[in-house]
Amino acid sequence: MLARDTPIRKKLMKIILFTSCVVLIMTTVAFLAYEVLTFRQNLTEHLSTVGKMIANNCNASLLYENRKDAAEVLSSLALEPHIVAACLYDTNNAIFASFPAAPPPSRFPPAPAVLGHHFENTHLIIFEPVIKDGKQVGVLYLNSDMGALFQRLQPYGGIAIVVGCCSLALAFALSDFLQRQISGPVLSLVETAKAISQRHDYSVRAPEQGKNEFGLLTDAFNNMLEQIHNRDLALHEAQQKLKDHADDLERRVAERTARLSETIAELESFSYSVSHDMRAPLRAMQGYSAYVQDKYADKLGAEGKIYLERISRAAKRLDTLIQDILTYSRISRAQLDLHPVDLDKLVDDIIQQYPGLQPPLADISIIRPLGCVVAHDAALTQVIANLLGNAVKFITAGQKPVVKVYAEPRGDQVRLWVADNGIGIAPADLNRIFGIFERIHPDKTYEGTGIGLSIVRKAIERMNGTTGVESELGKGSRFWIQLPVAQTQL
Amino acid sequence: MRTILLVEDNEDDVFFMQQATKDARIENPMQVAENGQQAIDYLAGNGAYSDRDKFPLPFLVLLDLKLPLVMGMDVLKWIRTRPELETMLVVILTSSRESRDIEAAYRLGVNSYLVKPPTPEMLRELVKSIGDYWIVKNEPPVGVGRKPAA
Repeated sequence: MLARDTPIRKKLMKIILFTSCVVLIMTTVAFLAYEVLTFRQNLTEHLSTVGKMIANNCNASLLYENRKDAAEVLSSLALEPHIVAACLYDTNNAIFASFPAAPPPSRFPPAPAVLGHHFENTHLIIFEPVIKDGKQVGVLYLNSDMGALFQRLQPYGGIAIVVGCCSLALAFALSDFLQRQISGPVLSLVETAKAISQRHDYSVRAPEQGKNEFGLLTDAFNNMLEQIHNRDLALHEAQQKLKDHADDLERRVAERTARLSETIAELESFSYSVSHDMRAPLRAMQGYSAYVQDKYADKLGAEGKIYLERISRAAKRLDTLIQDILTYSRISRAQLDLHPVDLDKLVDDIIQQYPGLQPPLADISIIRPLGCVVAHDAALTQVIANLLGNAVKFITAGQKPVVKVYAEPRGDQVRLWVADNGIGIAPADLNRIFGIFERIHPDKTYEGTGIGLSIVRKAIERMNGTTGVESELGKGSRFWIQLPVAQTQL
Repeated sequence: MRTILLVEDNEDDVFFMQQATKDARIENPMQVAENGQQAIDYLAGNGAYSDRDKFPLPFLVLLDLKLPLVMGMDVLKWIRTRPELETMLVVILTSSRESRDIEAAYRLGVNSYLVKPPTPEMLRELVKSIGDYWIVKNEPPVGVGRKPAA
């Protein structure tokens, strides 16, 4: 009856109307029941009186068996419209006289029942003793229908219906008016909530409602709104701050990027200038030393020759250093386009290019196939040339370098090993050797700029690879580089 | 004898080149422009350079990149915009192998890109191969630098 989705107004009205109806029906029923009971009581009294009168009037007729008189007395019952049947039983319980005079015999009980009255269906039955001189001479039977009751109840019913309808109408009007007292505050809360959820305006408040439960609910609701409002404000503030912060950060990043680009541009022009301008004097030094040695050899003397030789060597070292720095800087910033590179061919080409990597100066064995990796051809050539160069360079004096080059798959990468029989690296130095300008051997023993392995690490990093070394002092070194394997066969 | 124009600001390098050409037994006369502007003036025949008997149009330009006034790359660009010099043989001879320079030079239509070697001996070898290739073996385009009829 009261579905969940029924609006509260209808629900309240239904509740009030339903309650009113029930009360009304109960009242009507009680009233009717009272009426019926009263009527029955009155009817019983009336019929008893009538019975006693009839019994008194016909006791003599019974005693003297005057049927005619008895019938006459009974016929006076015609004045009582509701008495439908009456009869007299003699002492033998036979019907002595009856009313109406000639009824169907089934209308009477064959013999008188217990004296007194009782209701049978809608009839009141009375058995009254007929007494003459203190002696019972017969029994009077009276049967009255309840027509009078219904006759009497009819107007009552009409009145009840009219009153009921009026009451219901009044109840409806009243309920419609009264339910507003309850639904009004609830609906106003609902409206407020709706407005807030639609407009997201948390400054709206529900109207005050007095001090009852609705007042408390409204206050609680408004309190809640207050809190939400405050949090909303705080959130907005925080968001704004965050945004300001982000903007600030973005601005700073942009500034720094600009500054960085500027620095990079400066560095580039610096290295460009280094590569052009700084090498020219070196070339001059080497060149003139060579000419002096060439053309004035006879005038120099042994010492002079040595000094010139040293000038030339120093210039050459500086030139190598400049070239290595340039290579490092180039590899650090140049765009390295990555393609599949055949390691076997690359290593062969490198060895072929440098006599120092070939017999009789060195013994380099390659365990094939080395496979293909994704790399930048020139950068990888530089890397492997540096590794092979180191492998044959750092060797105990007088020993012949024996180098092994082999590869092993590592997931979707290839690790290329360059293992030598050189002097090895102390554990403390293992971490240092890839740093720029890090040299762990004194200049005189092994010449170098300390940039070779930095170039290796930087170039491999730029080609999405990794690099490392395993070594023990005196037991040779095993350098490795690891690069993504090339799926396509060359 | 066809003329070679060396565009080089460094007098040491000029000296080494002259020595190297001598040592490599290249007999072609070598003119020198000390900066980019001079090179352009020479090639355009501006001012004193209009005297083509004294300053003949070269068949081969050896061009340094880092030059005062006008950079080598701009000289090359200028040469390639001149219809009469469009096909002139230009060889870059510079200190560095900067990849962006190499890229740019070839994009501008240079014929060859060489890096100055550190020692006179190596320079002599390089000049010898320049002479062997560009003067003896190479067939130059019609127009500037045409080989004299045999």
